[in-house]
Amino acid sequence: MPRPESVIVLNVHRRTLVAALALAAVATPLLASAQAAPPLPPKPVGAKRYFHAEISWANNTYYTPSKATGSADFMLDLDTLTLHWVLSYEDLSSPPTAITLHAPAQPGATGAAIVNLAVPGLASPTKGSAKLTDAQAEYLLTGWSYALVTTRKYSKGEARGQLDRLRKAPAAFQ
Amino acid sequence: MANSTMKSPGSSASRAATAPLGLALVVFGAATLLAGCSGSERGGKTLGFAVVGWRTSVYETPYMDECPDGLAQGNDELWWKGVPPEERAILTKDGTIEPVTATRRAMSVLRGPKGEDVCWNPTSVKDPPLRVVEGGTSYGMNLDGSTDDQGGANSCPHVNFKSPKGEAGIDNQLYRILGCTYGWRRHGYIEDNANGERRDTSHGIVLIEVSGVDDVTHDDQVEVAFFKKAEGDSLPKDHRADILPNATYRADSTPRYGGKTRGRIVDGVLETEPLDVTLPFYGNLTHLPLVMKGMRMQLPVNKADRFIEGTVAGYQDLDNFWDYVQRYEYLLVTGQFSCPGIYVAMKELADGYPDPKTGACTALSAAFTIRTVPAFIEHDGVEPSGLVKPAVARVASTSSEVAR
Repeated sequence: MPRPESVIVLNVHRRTLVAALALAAVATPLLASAQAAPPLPPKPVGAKRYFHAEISWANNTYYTPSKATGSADFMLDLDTLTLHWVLSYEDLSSPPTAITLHAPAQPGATGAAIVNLAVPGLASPTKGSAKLTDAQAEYLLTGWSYALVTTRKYSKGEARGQLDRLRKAPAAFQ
Repeated sequence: MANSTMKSPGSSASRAATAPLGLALVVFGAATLLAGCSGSERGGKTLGFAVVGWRTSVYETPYMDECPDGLAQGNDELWWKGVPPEERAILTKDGTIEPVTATRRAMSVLRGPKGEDVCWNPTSVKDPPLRVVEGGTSYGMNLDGSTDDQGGANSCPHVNFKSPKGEAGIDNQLYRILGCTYGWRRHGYIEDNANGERRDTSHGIVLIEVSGVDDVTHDDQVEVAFFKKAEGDSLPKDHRADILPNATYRADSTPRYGGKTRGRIVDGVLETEPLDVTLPFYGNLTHLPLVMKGMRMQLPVNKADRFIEGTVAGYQDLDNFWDYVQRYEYLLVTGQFSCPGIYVAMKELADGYPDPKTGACTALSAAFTIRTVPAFIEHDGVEPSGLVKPAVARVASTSSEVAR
């Protein structure tokens, strides 16, 4: 009994597919994209990295004549990508409306808000934790993140502090 | 053996390398067969390679622990921190002129006390020390033969690295200087973009010819020549823009470039003897000869891969390195680096070829990862001539030199 045309087509397609896969198996090791950086060594287990931010009105990218200051310490647990923080501020010109972590931005540049640092509330000091994405964690390690305290008077932010990497755990996380 | 060779350059087989993949594979196989039949005047086979990728070797850890204070501060950051907030607000229109804009780049680089360009007058300002690599591991080679930090006969004291495999005495001060600077790290703009430009323009390509090869796994003596590819010959690519193997390239006749040295093959890896050489280099819209002293190369020549990666290490001439940094001034923001910081660090960390009069070292130990493809090389009448220092206009490196 003659085979239906669809079966023949399927078999032809299957042969084509098998041939294509065979060719791909041969060709794949020969193909590669442009030269990439060498692979990274394995990630250490139980790694934690620490950051500190000196918060001041003078760090804003726009002019905010204020007396606001503050500081923040951060611990990044790299196994779980959980960021822990303790942040305090003083001498704000008006009540705070938001406390946020921004990235990616070098000092003098502006980044998007990526973490709400006022989870338990806006009162100083505020403590909390949040889970980051891989990209957000890399922003911290690269030095491209900052804490921002926004107030009723300064809706774009009254005081800012860039996160600088610390060699050792700060007192808040010892 | 994957490397193509030829006695008579410009064969039709090599020209066919621009054909689609299937045909290319056939040609690749044919070229491999041809390899067994060819030989040089010295006897043995000849292998050819085109260097299609070139990266500064930077050893990175997953959490950037080689840079314990974080990455290096860029020029814009240093400028921005030095300007009072009121003045900054005026200059940047209340922060709306961002670092990458041409206006701000110009403002930030002219931050000398009298408006000097700090890339051309790096001592006109005193920046915080450059954040350099503090990790103990690096790619590279033991160039000075010493495994302690006092250096060898032709080097200055410096801290050695260990290789990722544990080999002691690795010299790589170029990595120490650039390893914490974003632009030279993975995903950094400088190396990725330069490699893309070389691929797309076919500029600045090094050709390598290994002759007198009796056995690609073990050979006590081979001859290795470096050439500059003629600018008129383009790199053929497939539909993924990957460079095809087994193309034929003409050697450039400019006497400035190239050189010859001896080498040996150990366990399939070609190891060359030190060579003073000037190589072509192109990247980020910049043509800049690379001046290396005591350069050596390790390349696994018995691999059957389309792309073969190896290491080039040696001492980069200090003036040549500084010229490279200055020409990249327009990348200060995207590369996130600062000229004065690099200038001070390179003077402090130079570790090779001490000046007989001053004792100050005049070169930086360095390592580069290269990516090659098998190639045919035509060099009728062209012989590599060795080190000729390019006639680069002497750059004023201090304000006082400018005044003179």
